[in-house]
Amino acid sequence: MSSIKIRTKRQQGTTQIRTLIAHPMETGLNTDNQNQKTIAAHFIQTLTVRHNDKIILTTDMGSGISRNPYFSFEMKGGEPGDKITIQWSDNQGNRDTQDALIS
Amino acid sequence: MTKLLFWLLVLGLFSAAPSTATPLNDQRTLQQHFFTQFPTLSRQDFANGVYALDPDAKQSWLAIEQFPPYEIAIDRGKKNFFTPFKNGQRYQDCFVDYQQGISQHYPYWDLKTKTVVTLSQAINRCRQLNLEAPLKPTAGDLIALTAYLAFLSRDQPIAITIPPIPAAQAAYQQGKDYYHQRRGQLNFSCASCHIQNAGKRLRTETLSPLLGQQLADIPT
Ligand code: HEC
Repeated sequence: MSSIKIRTKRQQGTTQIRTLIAHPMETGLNTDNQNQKTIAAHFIQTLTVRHNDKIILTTDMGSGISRNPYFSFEMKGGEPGDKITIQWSDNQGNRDTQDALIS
Repeated sequence: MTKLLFWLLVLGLFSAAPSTATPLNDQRTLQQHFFTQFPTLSRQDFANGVYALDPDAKQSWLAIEQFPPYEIAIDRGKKNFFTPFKNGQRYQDCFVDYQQGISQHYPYWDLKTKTVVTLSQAINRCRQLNLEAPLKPTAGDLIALTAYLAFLSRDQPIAITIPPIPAAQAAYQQGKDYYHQRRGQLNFSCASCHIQNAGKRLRTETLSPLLGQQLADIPT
């Protein structure tokens, strides 16, 4: 199961893109209350959004974003059937990617 | 102790009535109290808790509902629910009616063991029956499973009956007493906020009425 959920909604001349990503987003400052050890930093560093394989947005993210982050973007244009691709990579070298078609 | 409390929460059966009051009488008294206090709300509205009272909170809730962050937990619970145990059995073999929604029937008084059984406990019983270690009450897996089952029961009215036997009625009374017991630094009881001050504001929060509260398995 992908860690990325995407919903799109066409509006007048724009498309709203919303995404919910399952990710712990650990800052590296938290303690595991089971064993009192520090939980290693584990957060998404880059998030990329593509429209029909063309990058329309790249973000540099840090540890200050909450767990399971949610983002919403507004994109100019967008037609039914267009492909939206969202991809993330984190500081531990994990990555995931997911496509969604605009309805 | 807390499991009794949960049972009562689900029922929404509290009032300051004398201890001879039956659960059903308590329920009627309490409903009447809140129906009078909030005459514009329908009976069903109370199920929405604070969102029935606070239009701004309701707007944010409806916005969140379009893409709810809890989907992640429900997906996890669903996945666990259908993952077979080592012996090949699954949760659905214990909870055969799960598709119709079962969480509205919890907690219930178990005549055999003479205890209140919450949904979390029923899940752990199912695990033990199938020779799996029980999950911790605070474990994400157990919470996700109850979230999934509660989601399947969405919009179903709570359907719990307390059998007319002394032990079950005593459990009800214990939970009711707990709800009215003052405690903590501020010496509040649950009732101080959710009965006596329901609808008033506490800093940025509106206090929801007891009627409609039903967080049956959330540890407090
Ligand atoms: C000092 C006031 C206060 C006390 C005392 C208090 N609560 Fe609350 N409670 C709140 C506030 C504020 C909220 C969040 C807003 C709301 O839903 O009312 C809340 C929320 C809740 C909710 C969630 C309601 C929903 O619809 O999601 C439940 C259930 C609940 N409380 C139960 C209890 C129980 C049980 C006790 C006693 C053990 C208790 N509360 C004691 C203030 C209080």
